[in-house]
Amino acid sequence: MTLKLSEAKRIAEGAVKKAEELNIRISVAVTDTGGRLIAFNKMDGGIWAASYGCQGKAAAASAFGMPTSEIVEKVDPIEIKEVDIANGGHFALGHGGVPIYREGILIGACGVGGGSGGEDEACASAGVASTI
Amino acid sequence: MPSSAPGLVSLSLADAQLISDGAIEEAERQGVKVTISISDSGGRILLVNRMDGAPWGTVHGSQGKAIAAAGFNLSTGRLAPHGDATDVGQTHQHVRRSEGQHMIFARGGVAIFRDNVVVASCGVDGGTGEEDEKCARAGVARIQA
Repeated sequence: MTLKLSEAKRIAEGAVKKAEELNIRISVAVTDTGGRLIAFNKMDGGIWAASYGCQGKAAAASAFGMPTSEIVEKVDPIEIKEVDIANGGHFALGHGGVPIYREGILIGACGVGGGSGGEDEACASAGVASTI
Repeated sequence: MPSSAPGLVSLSLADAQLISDGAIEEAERQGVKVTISISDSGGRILLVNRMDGAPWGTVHGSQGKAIAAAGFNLSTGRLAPHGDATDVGQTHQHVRRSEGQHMIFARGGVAIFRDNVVVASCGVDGGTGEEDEKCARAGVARIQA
């Protein structure tokens, strides 16, 4: 039930395609259920800060199994903080991280950075929807 | 060519993917499972591809080699090993500390040149140093043929 590199690359490509439609330059990270990178792409001309942001969003989405936009609404802030500290402080909680499920089971996460929160989440969701 | 910072020459994402594909083909030929990291000349990642079954530690290993290759404009096998007390060794270690300890001085990272200027670097981790370097060079050859 793990995510293959071929799938992770397609998810990243799908997110980039959506970003091109929105005329923004993103970084996209696709991770396994442990929040560890499988594929990463930075669009030409994108800022490098987004490479950390998108990985942090994917890590948070994989950790809680829900979009980063929901984590901040549904999970106790103290719990989020404590898990983040235990994980090395890499979480990013801005909108743009989405979990990836197959047949109801978490198989990974996709995080996008570089646009507004809404744009990032739209790119991540489009990437996942194009593949899984 | 768009770059990730003003004045910084970079590599396109499309070229980065070509390099990664070439490196992965070489890894498959050698029967090793690796991660490929391509960074710009500032050591910032452009692309990461982890082969199915490669351990996640190789994500950090390949990035560390790519950053080191970009920082010194040479292949990481030529960097002074840990504990080297020569002036060159001391300098290499100082650069590594100043950068934030991300650099890895082990074979498998190569600088990517265009018109004698470093535009990016490729780091590979997952096999032996020799296997990793072979993968990185096979990948880079894809855009230099």
